[in-house]
Amino acid sequence: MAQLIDGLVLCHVGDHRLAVRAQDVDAFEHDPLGATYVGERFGDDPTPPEGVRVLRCGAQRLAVDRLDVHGGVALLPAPPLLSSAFGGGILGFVEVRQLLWPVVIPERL
Amino acid sequence: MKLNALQGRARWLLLPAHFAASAGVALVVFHCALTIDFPRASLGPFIGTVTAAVLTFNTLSHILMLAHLQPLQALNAGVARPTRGALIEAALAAAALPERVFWVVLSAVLIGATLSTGGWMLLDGATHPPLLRVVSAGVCMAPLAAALAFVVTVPRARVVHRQLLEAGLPVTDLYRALKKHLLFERRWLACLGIAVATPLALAVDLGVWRYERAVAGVSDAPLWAIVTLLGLTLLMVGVLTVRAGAALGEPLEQLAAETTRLLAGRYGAPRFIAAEYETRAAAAAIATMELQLAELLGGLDGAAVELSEATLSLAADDVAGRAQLETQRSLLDATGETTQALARSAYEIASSAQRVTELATATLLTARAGRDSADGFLRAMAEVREGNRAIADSVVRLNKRVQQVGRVVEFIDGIADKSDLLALNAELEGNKAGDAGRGFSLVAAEMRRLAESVMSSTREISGLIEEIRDATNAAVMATEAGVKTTDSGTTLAARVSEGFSRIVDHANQSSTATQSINLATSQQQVGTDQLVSAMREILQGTEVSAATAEEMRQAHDRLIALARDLTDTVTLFEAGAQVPGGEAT
Repeated sequence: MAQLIDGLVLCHVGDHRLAVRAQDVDAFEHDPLGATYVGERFGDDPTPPEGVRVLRCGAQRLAVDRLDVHGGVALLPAPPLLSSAFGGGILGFVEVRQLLWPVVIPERL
Repeated sequence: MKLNALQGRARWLLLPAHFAASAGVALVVFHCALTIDFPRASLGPFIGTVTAAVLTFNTLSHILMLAHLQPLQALNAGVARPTRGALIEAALAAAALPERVFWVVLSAVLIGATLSTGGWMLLDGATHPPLLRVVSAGVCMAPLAAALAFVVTVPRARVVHRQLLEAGLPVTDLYRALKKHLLFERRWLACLGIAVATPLALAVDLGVWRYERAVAGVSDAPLWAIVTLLGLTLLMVGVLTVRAGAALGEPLEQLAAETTRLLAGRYGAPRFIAAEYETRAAAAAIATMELQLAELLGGLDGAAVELSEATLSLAADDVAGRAQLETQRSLLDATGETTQALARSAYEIASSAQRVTELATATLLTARAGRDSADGFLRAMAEVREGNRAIADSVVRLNKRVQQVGRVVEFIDGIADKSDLLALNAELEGNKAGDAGRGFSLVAAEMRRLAESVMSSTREISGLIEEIRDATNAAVMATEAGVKTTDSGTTLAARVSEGFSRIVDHANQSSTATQSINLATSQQQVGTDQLVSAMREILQGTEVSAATAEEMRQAHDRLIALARDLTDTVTLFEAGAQVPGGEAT
């Protein structure tokens, strides 16, 4: 049975996209100093461009190009093989705006 | 200077005077002794008194004569240098001496005898009157003695003149210095009268005396005594006549010889003819004439030679001259044609110069208009340059304003970005709150959209500002380029104006020069016209010269014949070298 998520933070990093549960994010910040650019995980240049947004998630700070806050969405669970292949960092997928967004755990990213 | 010959000549000149005076006194005494019945005791004192008086008178006259001959004595003694003036003074003294001797001897015999007789009568206390007899004897003998002294002194004075000539006195100077007293007739006729009258007077006197003695019955004087007195008197008359004839004839003979020599054409240095009065004047005239004739002959000889050479040369040149005249005529024809062509060329040059002057004037006016246009363009360029600078300043100020607007937009964009982030956080917190925060999330989302709208607008504004900034930068660069271009244009316009000024100056100079050329060509045209006229007159003159040349050729032929005749005539004379001192005869 599908799990309902109250809030999602939709992140755009270059041509890539991912989603983070709102409850995993403490706040949004502007200064990217000391933050990890998420595009580095997709093999892009580790230097973040201007205008990035920073997600402060506990002690971790993640920089993305653009983000958006979205309301309650049903979580489509990921297959156990896929979840274990990613080290348990991916929770599942959500469908927003007719696109499929992977929902990840910031601490595991 | 042969001054030794003059030694003792002064006393020598006076010797005849003493001799004649003594002879006269002796005759007077003899006459008185014969015709006066002196007491035997008184004859001796009478003779002594007369002799003493005559001796005293002679001594005094001798002193006076020596004083008169002082220039001659000064030359003899070497006191005076034998200069021309000293020689002339000596010659004058010698020339005047015969006249003085005449009067001195006359006085010595007449006055001396009379005064001594008077004195003897007072001393002797004689009662008979012998003074008349003494006076009559003196009157008879004194002129004879004086004339004798004169005719004897004259040759001696001539000797002194010759010796002065030998001493260096020029003949012409001597002639010029001697007085030209024309007393020939008076002096020599007086001597002749004395020579004739003295024996007659003596004879008459003796005749009267003998008649008175016969009437008175007094014994006559012895005949031998009378004959002796008459004989001595006639002897003196004879000496007087002979010496007078010699003194007269000698210079006349020399004068005749000189004249004959001159007639023979033998001219040379003038010779001195020692003579007196008219004879001396004639000799001086002949000497002067000889000098002038010698100079004239010398000049004539040279002139004849030169005339002969000149006429021969003229005759030789005449042929060449006629050939040259023909050549000159042909050259003048060619020159006349050339001058006419030159006149035509001068006219064309004058016309061209006039056209050039007009063109130069038009060029000057055009250049002035160009200079004015260049000046106007220069002023316009200066105005454009000032306008470009004003535009550039405005654009710079606009760019600064745009930059200020950009900074405001950036500020607004920053605020919108922060607002967006703040709305994003608010929406996040609203979503975290669940259903309770849903309204809050909607408001936050709306605020976020507004912030994103603002940010989008600020981005557009920033783009526009960038475009404006680029445009203003381009405008600034364009205006700076315009300013540079206007500066270059101003510089070029200034150069153009300066060039036009130089062109105006050059055109002005060209105009002045062309006006001068025009004036000069006009004068040249007038000059060439005059030249043509002059050449025409020269050609006519050449025609006349040809006729004159023919006449000159004929005149040359006559002149050659005349020169030959003149040369032949001059060669008949023997004009010798002229000696300044001359020659004494």
